[in-house]
Amino acid sequence: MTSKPWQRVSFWVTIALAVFALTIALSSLGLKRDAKALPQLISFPLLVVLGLLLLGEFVPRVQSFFVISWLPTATPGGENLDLTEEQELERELVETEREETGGEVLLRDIPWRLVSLVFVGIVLYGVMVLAAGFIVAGLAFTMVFVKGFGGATWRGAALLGIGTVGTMYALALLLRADLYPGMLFGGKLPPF
Amino acid sequence: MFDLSPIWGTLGQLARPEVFGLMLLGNVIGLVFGVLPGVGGGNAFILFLPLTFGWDPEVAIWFLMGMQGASSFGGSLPAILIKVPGDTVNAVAIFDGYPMTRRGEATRALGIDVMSNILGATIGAIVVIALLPVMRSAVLLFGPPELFWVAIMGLFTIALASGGNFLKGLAGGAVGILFSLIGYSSVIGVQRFTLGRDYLWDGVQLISLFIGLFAIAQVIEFCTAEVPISRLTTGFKGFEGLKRGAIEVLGMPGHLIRSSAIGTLAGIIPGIGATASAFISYAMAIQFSKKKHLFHHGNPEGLVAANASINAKEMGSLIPALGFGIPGSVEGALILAALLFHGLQPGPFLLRDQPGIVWALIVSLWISNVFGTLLGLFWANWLSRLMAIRVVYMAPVILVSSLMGVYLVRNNIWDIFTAIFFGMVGYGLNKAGFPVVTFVIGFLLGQIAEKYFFQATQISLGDPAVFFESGISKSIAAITVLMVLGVIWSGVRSKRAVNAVEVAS
Repeated sequence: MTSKPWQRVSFWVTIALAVFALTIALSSLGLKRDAKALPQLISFPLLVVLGLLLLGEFVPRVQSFFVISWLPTATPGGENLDLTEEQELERELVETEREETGGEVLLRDIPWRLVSLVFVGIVLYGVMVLAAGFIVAGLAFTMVFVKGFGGATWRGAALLGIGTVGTMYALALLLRADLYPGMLFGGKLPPF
Repeated sequence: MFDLSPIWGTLGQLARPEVFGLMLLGNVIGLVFGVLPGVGGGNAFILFLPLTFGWDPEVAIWFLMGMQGASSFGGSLPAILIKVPGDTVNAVAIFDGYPMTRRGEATRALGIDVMSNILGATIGAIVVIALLPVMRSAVLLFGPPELFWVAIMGLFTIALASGGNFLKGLAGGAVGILFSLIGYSSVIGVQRFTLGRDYLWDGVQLISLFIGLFAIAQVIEFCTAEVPISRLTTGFKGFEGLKRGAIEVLGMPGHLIRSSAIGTLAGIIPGIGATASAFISYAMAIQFSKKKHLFHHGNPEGLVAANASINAKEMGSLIPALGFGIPGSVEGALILAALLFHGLQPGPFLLRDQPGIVWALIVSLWISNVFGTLLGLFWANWLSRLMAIRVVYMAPVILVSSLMGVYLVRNNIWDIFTAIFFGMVGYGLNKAGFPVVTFVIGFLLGQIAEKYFFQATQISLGDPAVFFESGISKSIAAITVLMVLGVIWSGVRSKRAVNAVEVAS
């Protein structure tokens, strides 16, 4: 690990989890004995584990004691003459999977603009459902998404949108379930 | 004499048109999702679970198991035909399946795939059925303290088996447990961590968590790494060679039985994933083969070992899920989620009080494996074309349908925002290398652990010694501690080995 700890995603996620665990640990102090037993039994050791993870971000040697590999150990150069062909393939597959699912991802590796755009889009879809209901929001979201991200024609986007929403509507009818109509169309908001 | 009447009774349900139709529909959905790399049958299960709300639980099980059973064959299709595994568990099928396709033996490879899938699932089912009576008496030895330890050990084993950083696996699981404690606890009779919000009194909804962590996080991932699932299509045509491949499997009973046994065992032990069991079976097949030099060059023995193991493992994972209510794997967690969703409490009492559900699970998973595989075979060419779809077209469809599914469970619009929140959490955890699967399993284990913890302390009037009284409790606690020490010891050893190599070079 040649990067600085604060340049890594894992550092910030660990801090976020520590804040959550600390919040639970402190909130549980005021609960009655039975109610606080398990939250404290879990949150305090969790804080220790997260502390070790944070320490490991600064001192990689600490983390290396807890890294499990079910694969044969390779030399620092990356090669290991004892590895059979299938073990090499296995290592490649597992390492590719690990890269895809996390590993040491740096903050700069994340396409922030795109992630924010997608995330804001999803939140906006939620707000749209709240305002105009599933049918209108689903149709609008699918069309804009496919047009904006996929470069589809308006006709293609409309077809996909109608197809998606139509299928969902048919399924809801089949299940005799009511789809939320949206506040603009008389939908009531449950207590929050 | 072993009583087989419950099996015939459960099989008889297939005579009901709605059961048969829904199982086939589940098969089709499982195949379509299974064949799409990165999407997987697990996502199909999560997306369609809310839609089964209000159904007869046994009918819902046939539908859901239909998806589960067919998806592994769906995943092996692209692995064999175009070298793109549908799921990580199908990666091993590439080693010998794809070389066979390249030398023009795609149909023979598929014949082997079909037969080893069916026989692997069948052997796994036989083992599970044989173990069921033993399991009933074995689980009675487990009281609340023992079951609490089983839950804790399950978490440690899964953190251990998830590979990578053990501490991250453990932390993910612990955070999952903490999330499960939010809301009103019917066991203790208090509400906790609700921030004064009425909405949180019911706690975090399982379906919102599942959809968020898997479906929405995956949609974000899809859109930020926008590529077509595959630009390739297969040249699979006709069914020549199928018969040859299928018959060939029957000539390899050793590989078939060994791999199925490894798979079933891997399913029973919490934490050993299907991918690991497939690799172990494959490595064992090489060890026992007389044609070692043919592996990776299209050796049918390799394909048999991988597929039989994966399907037997699915069956084996039913044992910890049904017997102890402990999810040993993602598949086990999904099955538990389905049971809880339909108001059924997995564990010792399910075996005693709801044998119909238990048999429905075992038989439907087995039958779905068989039907799904046969169905997939006839649609192989069409299914492989799905891989050319651009993910950006699928993302909004997945998102719209999954969030609608979340809403339909209890008609609470706020649930969709919870799912969106967990989508972001899932994306962050993935990027930081925290295994999401331990988070989910922790969430499921949290309520189980608290229930047994509370019951044990009530029995002992608050004396913590109750957790170390019986031999079983002591053994499980000792195994858990030894596992942690083992991790640290292996870390120290590998560090020393690397240092020694550095000094030598």
